[in-house]
Amino acid sequence: MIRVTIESLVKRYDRVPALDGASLEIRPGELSFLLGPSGSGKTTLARLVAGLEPVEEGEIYFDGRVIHTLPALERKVGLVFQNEALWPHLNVLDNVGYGLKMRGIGRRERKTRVIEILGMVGIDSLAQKMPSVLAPIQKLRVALARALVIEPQLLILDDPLARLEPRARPEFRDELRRLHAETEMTTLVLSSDPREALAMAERLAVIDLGHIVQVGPPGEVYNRPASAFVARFLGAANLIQGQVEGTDARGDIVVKTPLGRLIGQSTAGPLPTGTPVTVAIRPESIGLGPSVPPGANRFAATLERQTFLGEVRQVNLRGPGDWPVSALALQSQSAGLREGQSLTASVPPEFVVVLPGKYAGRADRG
Amino acid sequence: MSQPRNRPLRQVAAGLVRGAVALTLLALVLPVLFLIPGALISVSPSGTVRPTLFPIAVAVFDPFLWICVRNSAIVAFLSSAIALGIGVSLGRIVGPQRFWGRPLFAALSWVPLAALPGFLALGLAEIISPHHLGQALARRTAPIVLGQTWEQWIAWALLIWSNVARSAPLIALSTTAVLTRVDPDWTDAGRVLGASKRRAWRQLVWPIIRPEVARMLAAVFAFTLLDPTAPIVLGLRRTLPFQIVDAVTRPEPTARLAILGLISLGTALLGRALVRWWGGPRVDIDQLDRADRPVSAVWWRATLRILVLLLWLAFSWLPLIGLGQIVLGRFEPDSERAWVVSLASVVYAVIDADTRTLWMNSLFLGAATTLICVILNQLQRAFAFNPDRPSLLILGFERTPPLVLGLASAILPGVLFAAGSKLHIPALVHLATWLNPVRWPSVLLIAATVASRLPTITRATDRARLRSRPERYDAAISLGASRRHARRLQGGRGAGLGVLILTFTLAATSAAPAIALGLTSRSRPVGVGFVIGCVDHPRAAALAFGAIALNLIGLVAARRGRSGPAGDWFRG
Repeated sequence: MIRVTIESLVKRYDRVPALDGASLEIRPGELSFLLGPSGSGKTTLARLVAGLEPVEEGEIYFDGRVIHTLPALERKVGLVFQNEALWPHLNVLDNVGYGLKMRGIGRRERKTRVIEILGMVGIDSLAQKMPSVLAPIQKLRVALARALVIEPQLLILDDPLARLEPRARPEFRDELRRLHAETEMTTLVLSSDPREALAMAERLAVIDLGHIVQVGPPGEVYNRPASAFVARFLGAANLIQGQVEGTDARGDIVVKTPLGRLIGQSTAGPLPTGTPVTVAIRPESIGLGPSVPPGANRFAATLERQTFLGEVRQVNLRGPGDWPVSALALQSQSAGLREGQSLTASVPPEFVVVLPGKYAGRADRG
Repeated sequence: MSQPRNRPLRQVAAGLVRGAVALTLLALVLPVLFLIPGALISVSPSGTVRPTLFPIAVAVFDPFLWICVRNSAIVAFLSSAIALGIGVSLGRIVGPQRFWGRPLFAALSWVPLAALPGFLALGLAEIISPHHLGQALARRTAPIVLGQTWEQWIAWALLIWSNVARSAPLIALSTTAVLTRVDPDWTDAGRVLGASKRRAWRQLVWPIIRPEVARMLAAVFAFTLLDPTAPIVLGLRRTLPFQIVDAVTRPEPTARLAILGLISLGTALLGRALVRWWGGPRVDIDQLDRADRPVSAVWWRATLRILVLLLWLAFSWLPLIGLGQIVLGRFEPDSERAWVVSLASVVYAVIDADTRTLWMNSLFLGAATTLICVILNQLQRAFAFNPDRPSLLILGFERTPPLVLGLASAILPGVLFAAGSKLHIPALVHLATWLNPVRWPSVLLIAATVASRLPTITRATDRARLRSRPERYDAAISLGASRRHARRLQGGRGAGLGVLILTFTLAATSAAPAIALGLTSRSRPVGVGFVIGCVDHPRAAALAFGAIALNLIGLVAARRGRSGPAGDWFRG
């Protein structure tokens, strides 16, 4: 188990920065997720850590030891590529055993260890198969086995679930959790799927345009986003522009918004009066109906449209000033709702996140 | 639902066309099959025909013939091996990574493809040893024999040089084509696991691309084994193609020619098979999985690549410079106006009646070949039982070297005449007389050229079919387009105009199979005219430049907008 420290990494392709001062720490034995949209720099960061690309600026440490100057072999990083990158001319046994071969391990021992690791990932019966005949999840398991067999200090998986069918994803997710629990290996999973990251990560880092914008436990990152980008990227969010009016007795921030005065909590500490801010409210935090918890923000709204989503119903409201607001309601709670109906929406202050600065995206109107 | 009333009629018509196409294809391959009976007959001076094994025995125990086979095989092996090394390196250099001037360097590197090895050999002979070798070539009284003097060693070296200059770009094109399908993550996965870049290439990439490269190498081996132009230009008598051309022009008895053809075919097929065996089975590369990461080479690597490309250009363009020197004339200190005289002779040679005849013959041959290829290809596809698979018969032509096709066509009238005389079938005797290659335009010449070029168009059509999108057809029909227009929008209907132009130019400028048909000066195309008249250097060089220019036009036309393996076009 090692601690991985990444400090101010910079990498440019054709003068365009792919990583622009990214810093991250992965704790020993932790299952961390690096979450970001396509092109945000996740894969570049993984390639730099694995030693596939030279670092232009910044440092990488494993347990305090500088490793960004070492060749890939000495870093002992297991990398599962997004497209698995199984060699099509080698069977599963040879694919998985290649890393051991590079380490000078004899054929017999190599075979024993490969069979063992294949059993660990549940594909020991596929040892003689060629990659072209494997199903996507089997390919992924082979790629995982190939990365694990060298007993890496750090395991990196690049968007492992992206190419799997939705039905196969939970199976692999459980598999990955089990393997991580067994090996207690420091693991970094790159992902562009927030649901996957929120479901699996022990700690989550969000990356955007080559910067790590927030790091923390999934619940914290989801409920207390550091920026409008994080708020939007991790799930639906109502982003409302406003201006700080002051603080209340509990130290919460009072913001003047088109929906009225909203009391919320800032992730950036106290904000001076008059500061332009963006208020982020998750749709599922908004309560609909007559019962309003004490101390909660409230505003009048008209139900404009509701959409059936299975377990929940998405409710589109028009707030004061014709401001659009989106809410999610359980089926049982939304049974009596009718389009055009006037109702009171409420949201507790702990679910109102005040973010400094105006959000430039289209969400400033909903 | 009632069946259309004319359906049986259509089926009969389709069957008839299918049969006619099959018969035509069979007729194209028939001369090669006739090599076997051709080797077993003897025609006495009185015209008596009898079966005999004597010519085969003579050939088997003829040490000179086997020396020629050995020499040609060694030259083909060395040329292919060197072309493999250079071609793969070139393919890797101009392949995945970008650097300054890459398209220009790549385009310049492929130019020697447009020249026959004989053109390059002539230019090289001019540059390397203008006095000694040039005079020896001009005299051509004393044939050069392997291992006698340094001049002869130079001639062998020049033969390999000209073969390599032509073949390495083919290997390079084939390498670049397959490298575009290689996932860069395969190398990276190896590097993460501890392989060096070189080792990752050797163990993880090369085994994947080797089968594809080997397919082209097999074609290169067969081509260099039996290309007649360079050995004749260099006067290398102890080579198989020289002996074939020599035997045809003398002429030798039919049985001797047939045995030469069979030995050539056997050696070419054996070489091909060995190379393909070395290459191994094709690796299934899933292109959808490929990570796309085009990157620019770092400055020092880019500089190194440019230097290597410049070296290659110096190597491959030197023969062309030599040709240019011939056209412009050598600078003689005592004759300042030598180049003017030479240029004037070239201009005269280009516009004189003989040259015009050569070009007219070539253009006719090119046009007829292309037209027949297109018709046969379309008919074969339209009426084939399985339109998704090209005819095995057509792909079989690909394995037959053009010189053997020509030789087989040359002996066909003799075999038919012998069969007609022996079996008392006057029709066969008449057919043999009618097929005489001296007649112009020779049916045999066109048939042999069609057989050598048809696989190119078939393969190009195959690729086009792979690119066609049935959903485009459906979309067009749903929007009210006519079936014809929808089929056009679907794409993948034919080989494409560019490939047809290239087929035309290659058919018009090739030397084989025409050179094996013993054509007269009235019916020779340019390639044969060059070889026969190569003692007249300025005239030969002018013809060579004309042919190169024509082929370059074809190459540019075929390459435009396509990224397919251009090497396929030169397999024939």
